[in-house]
Amino acid sequence: MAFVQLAKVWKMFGQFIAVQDFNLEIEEGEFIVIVGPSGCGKTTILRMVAGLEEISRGEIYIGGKKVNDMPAWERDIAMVFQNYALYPHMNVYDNMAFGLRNRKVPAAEIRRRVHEAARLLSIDSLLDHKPKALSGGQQQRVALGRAIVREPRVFLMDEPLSNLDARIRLQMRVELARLQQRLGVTTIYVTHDQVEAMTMGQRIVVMRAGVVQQIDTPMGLYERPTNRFVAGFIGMLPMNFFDVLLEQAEGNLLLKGDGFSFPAPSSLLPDKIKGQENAFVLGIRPEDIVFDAELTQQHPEWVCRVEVEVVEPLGEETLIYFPLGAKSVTARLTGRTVPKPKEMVSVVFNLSHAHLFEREAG
Amino acid sequence: MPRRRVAPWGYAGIVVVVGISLVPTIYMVDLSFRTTATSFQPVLVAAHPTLINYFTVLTSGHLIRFFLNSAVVAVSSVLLTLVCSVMAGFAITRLKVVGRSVVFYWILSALLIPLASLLIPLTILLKTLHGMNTYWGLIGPYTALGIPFAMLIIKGVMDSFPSELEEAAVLDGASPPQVLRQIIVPIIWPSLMVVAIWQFLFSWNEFFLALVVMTRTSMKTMPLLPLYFEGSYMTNPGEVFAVLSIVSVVPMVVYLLVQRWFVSGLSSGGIKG
Repeated sequence: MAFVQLAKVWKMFGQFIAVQDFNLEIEEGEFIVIVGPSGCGKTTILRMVAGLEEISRGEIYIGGKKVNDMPAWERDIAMVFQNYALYPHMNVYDNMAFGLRNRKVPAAEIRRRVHEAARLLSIDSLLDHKPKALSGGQQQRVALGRAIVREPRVFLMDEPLSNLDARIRLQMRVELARLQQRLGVTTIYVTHDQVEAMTMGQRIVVMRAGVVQQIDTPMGLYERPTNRFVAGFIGMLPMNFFDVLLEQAEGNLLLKGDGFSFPAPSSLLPDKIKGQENAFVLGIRPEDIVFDAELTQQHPEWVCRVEVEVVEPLGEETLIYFPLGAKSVTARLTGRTVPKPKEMVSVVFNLSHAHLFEREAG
Repeated sequence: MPRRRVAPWGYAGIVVVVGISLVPTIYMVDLSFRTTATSFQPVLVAAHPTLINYFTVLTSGHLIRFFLNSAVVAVSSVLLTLVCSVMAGFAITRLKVVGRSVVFYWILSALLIPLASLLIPLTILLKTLHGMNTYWGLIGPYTALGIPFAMLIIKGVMDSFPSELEEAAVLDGASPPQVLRQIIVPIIWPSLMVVAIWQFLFSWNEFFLALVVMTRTSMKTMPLLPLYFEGSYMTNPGEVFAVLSIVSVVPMVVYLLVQRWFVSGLSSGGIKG
């Protein structure tokens, strides 16, 4: 049995369904990220695991034991909140020691654990400070320290980096991942930021409107999104979507869209729709629309001649935006060739990395 | 937040308002230093002040006893009001009990009832319960009358108290009483000081109920002391105003000691975690 298991969990607030039939098995030591837009139910799941929210239906197990009716303080879980939730009237030491004192840990052991965690998080010089005297990053470390000293069975993290500025967020992201690897504690991390999800999670749960869309590894989500929502949510830049018709023409399957017509590679066609003629959505990531001489040579039928509208040079890569039919398309070009606005260029749509979704599916 | 500069005309306005408000206080203190002969001189500050009135009051034998009675009644009623209203506020804002809003507004409705209209029922009740000439005969009604206002303040503060702090404490293994005692109360302390000062002033200054309930001299409270220095056939305004000055000193000192919490308590709407 998995270390943390959520089986057919539902959460209703009156008539509103916040979480619907949620199933997840988490192995011991695993770092799971739950990601999705605001209001998708991810924090509710975390709160149900923590025992801060009652479960409407279903079962939650921690360490093989059903915890549905177990009070929060008995679950041996530590949570890091979005706004840190440090006790403002206590100094850093007391904030970190509070949970241990409640659990009647001997004073000497509390001292040892607090100092050890403080050293680990480089906050040992701040132990006498009150939270209001600390920066956002320091407060975040104290919140982490408070979770670490408890040596809990599970860490729950509710968007812990979202209140930090970009630079510190990047730094803390790396530190958090490193810390989790070092401590090896099972962690459930909630975020709406797909970059955090992709960079930190061993597995990612993508949610939308209370329903799980896909559970997979970061690369699995990136390469094999099960629906248009996941495809659009995961990835640095939004995926380009085109309404297409799959048509038979001279023995070939053609993807016909507004302003283009490409022969569809067989790799693009999922088994269930192979051979059918229907309306679909073609999804292709900006990084799969490229200048590539080799690919152009291999697949001249995937080349499109387009007029560049906007150019965003970012140094090691360049984003270009161009119209295709009625759509504005984004391409992410590597290398130092920077086209100019209004320039006509030939780009290759690398359809071997594209995705085809049914129109009605998200 | 940088302090806003006050314009010169603003200062002038403050001085005028403070000056007008201080006239009765100055007059009271000034009269306490006058003899019977100079009592009615039409000046704000009379010449040749004397301490004789204070000497008379301090040696009258009643002051210390009345002071202690007042202290017992006021401090007990403050503590009881705080304990009851904090626990009630926690229950009304946190526990999922059916009809908690009704209970809250029921308690609040007591604010609409003037003490004078309660005087006769309270007296009959206290007489039946053998509460006349006892401390709890005043402490009970003062606490009961103080709780509605206290609830008004405390519920507002608890409603805006960040739930994450409580949840963090619960996950840290704190029981609900520990959460209340170790997390909520220390953080809402300034607001509790507002309640405490308000309740102290009310309990210390209340005259009407004390006059009716405390008929035995040894049980009387400070606001009743001036009665011992006036009568149908004798009057010495100097002594009466010396008593009033002494009675007023305690609330002033208490206020000065805790005013920084009072101000921050009044201005605390949202609490930052």
